[in-house]
Amino acid sequence: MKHRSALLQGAVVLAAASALVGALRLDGGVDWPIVAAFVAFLIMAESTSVLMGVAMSVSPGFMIIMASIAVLAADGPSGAVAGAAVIGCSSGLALDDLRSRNLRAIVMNSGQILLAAAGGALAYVTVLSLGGWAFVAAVVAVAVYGSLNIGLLIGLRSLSTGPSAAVLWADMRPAVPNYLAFGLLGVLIGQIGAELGAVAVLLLAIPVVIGRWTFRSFERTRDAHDASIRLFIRLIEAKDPYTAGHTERVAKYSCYIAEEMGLSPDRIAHLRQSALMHDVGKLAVPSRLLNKPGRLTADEWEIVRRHNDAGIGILGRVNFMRDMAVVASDRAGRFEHDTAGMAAELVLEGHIVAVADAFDAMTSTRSYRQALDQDIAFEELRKNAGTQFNPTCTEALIAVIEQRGERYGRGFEVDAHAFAVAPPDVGVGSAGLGDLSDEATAAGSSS
Amino acid sequence: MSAPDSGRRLSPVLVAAVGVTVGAAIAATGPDRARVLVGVAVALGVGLLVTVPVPWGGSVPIGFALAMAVPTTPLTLQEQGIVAVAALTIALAVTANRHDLAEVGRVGSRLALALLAAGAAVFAFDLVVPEATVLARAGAGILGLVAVDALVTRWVLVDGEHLELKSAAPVHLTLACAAALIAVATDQVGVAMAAVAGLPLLIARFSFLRYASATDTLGQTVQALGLVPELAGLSPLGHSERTACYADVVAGELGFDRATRQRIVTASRLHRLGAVPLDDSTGEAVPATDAADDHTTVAVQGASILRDVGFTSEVADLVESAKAGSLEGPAPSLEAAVVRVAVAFDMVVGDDPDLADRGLSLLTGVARDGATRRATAALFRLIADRPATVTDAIAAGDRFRQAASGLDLESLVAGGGDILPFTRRKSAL
Repeated sequence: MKHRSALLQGAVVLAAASALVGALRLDGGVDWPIVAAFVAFLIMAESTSVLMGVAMSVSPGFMIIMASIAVLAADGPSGAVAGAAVIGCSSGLALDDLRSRNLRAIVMNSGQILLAAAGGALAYVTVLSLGGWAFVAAVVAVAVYGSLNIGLLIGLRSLSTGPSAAVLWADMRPAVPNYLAFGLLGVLIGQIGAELGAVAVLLLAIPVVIGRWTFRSFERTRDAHDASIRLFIRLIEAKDPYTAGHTERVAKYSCYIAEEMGLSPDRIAHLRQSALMHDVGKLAVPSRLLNKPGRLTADEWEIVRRHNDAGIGILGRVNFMRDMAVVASDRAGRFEHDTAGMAAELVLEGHIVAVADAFDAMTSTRSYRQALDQDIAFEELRKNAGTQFNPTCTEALIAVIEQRGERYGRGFEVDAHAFAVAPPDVGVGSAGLGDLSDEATAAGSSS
Repeated sequence: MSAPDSGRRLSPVLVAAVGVTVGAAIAATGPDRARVLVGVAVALGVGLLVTVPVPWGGSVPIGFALAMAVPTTPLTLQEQGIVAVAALTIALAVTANRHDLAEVGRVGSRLALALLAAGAAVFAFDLVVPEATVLARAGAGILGLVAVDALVTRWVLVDGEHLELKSAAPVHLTLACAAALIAVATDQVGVAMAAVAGLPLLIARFSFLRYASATDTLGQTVQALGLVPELAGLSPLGHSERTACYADVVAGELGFDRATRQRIVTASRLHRLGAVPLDDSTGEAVPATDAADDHTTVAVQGASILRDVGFTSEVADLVESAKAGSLEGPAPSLEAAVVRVAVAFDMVVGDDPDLADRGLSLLTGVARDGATRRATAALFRLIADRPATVTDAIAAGDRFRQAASGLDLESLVAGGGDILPFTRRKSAL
């Protein structure tokens, strides 16, 4: 495979060099000052990624190259192809790569973009010379550029150590409409640039700069929001210091399960946040009950349950926390519960978090008992799979932990808390809020 | 979009009648022109319905970009008028399905004045400079529309929100650039490429929507964090929300800018947070204590946690210097004094508006330093001018008390239930 990758890389470089030499030998002049200006602009744009948001997956250099094709086409077809080839070649010269002297990246990027730019320019001038509309010429040029660029990129990466061509294409496919739209915008700027000069660039640059400012503001706001989520977690753990680290571990196990079940990255990110907040109901539970050494009585358990539900309920009425509240609720967590009317993805998240929560509860030392051995925790999960726990989630967690060769539970605790009174060495008690009284346990309930 | 209001509705018959009249006027221009006019009217009408949200309040319709560009096209004045009326009819017909007559009137007057301003500005510019370039003419339309919209949104509330001009400036600038691109592209390379020129509008909408949504989410999270000490029984339910209301209006009265005002509101909401890790209570609902030492400990603890988790130091410092509402000792800043006064006032008044006078007298008697006296005087003025300030704050806090007492977890789990108020974003149309 590596041999074929090297062959393709060599072929790309050879083809690019031939195209460059051939284009420069074409009859017709190249407007070198314009080409030099585009080269400078392109290197600057490639070195400081200025397009964010919608355009995140499209290189800003792409728009500049498409604009240059439209500008240079006014001086004749051969000048456009040669100029585009030179400008495309220079797009590999990103300052970061130059600084790190990443010669291989520079040569490959330059060759790949040179071929795409020359192909796009050739298509553009050909359609125009056949009497085609400017819009049609622009669409064809963008399509040719995009196909060559994406095709070469997928070929080069899939033949090296990267993922398969199908996976790469699946990643890139959502960016195709962006490619078309931004390419056309680049051509438009080039087309009206002859009339407006630098003003045309300004009309494009201002929204881009505003877009970048908005993106930065969004990032700052998101950071503040992340801080507030951390604050929630800190408060939950402050209420129940014996379970410090519990929420992070539940989030980790939840992500393990989700990855094993093949959930999308977006859903995993959502699940992680829900898992981090799964104990939010504890905020409304009296501290004396949360931290009571030993088992809770049935009455105490009822108080805990009521406060927990109230906490989840009130915070869940703040709309961004609604999903998290649903996931944290007992109704979504227990596999056997009727979940009619609930969103299927939230039910699954509830099942995943419930398994992760129970596993961590069993493999951690709590005020009411010592940590259990990992194998006992697995056995307990399997015993309750199909009733309390979702069997698929249960098996997914066990499979991931075994595949990773990780060990948790007795003898392997990382954040073990030092208790004033050593917890008893008995009981299974599954999740979060403490263990039940003997009577309640006998009745088969658990948190 | 918010749920339909219950007030009087715009008559569908009237909308239909206007629609038929405009349709007839378009048809009278002949098949070729009619196609163009319908296309422009639909694009403009839909554009007027799609808005770019402005963080911190209000929104601007994307269609304003087209409204700025249309007067520069070869359409005659009469055709431009027909297009404007047709687009308005489309926008208002959709708005009428969602809102009452008063709101339709507000939205309609804003849109109509914007369209009129853009057209009139280009018309006047053409009279003064007959041979001007398309770009210059578009510039005139942009100036006319933005100036009139800025004036209109100072007085006209759309969906209960004012447009904050400073925040809206980047949106207006983006729309202006798109309008100029559309105008020049239409003139030089045809309508198909002009449609491409509208692409920056989509970027702007996406970026601002995401930013506005993140701002709202952050506001709600802080609101929820303010509830935590109340859920833990460490302060009365509704205290954080009422305090935030008082702090917000006092900060506004004292002329703080938006960022400082936001910081003051955030610190007001989070002023009791430090009590949670210190909690060794029995879980019974108890009000905050009055002991100054306790206040200091709570404030220091709260600020320390905020710094640890990555909140800005300005907010953490303000929480610390606000001393959880204690009026012991001088306030180190006017911002801290605002939070202290708001907290202390609510601790006296709670949910009983009859105690407002007592709260004010108490504050006036206790306030010794300049900052605390200024904040107290501002609150005094506000309540004297608008006694509903207190009842509004109590009503805001009451929603949390009601949420706590009438809780229905089943309906929440099923996806229903109300969203708590105060920071919910409203759309303009």
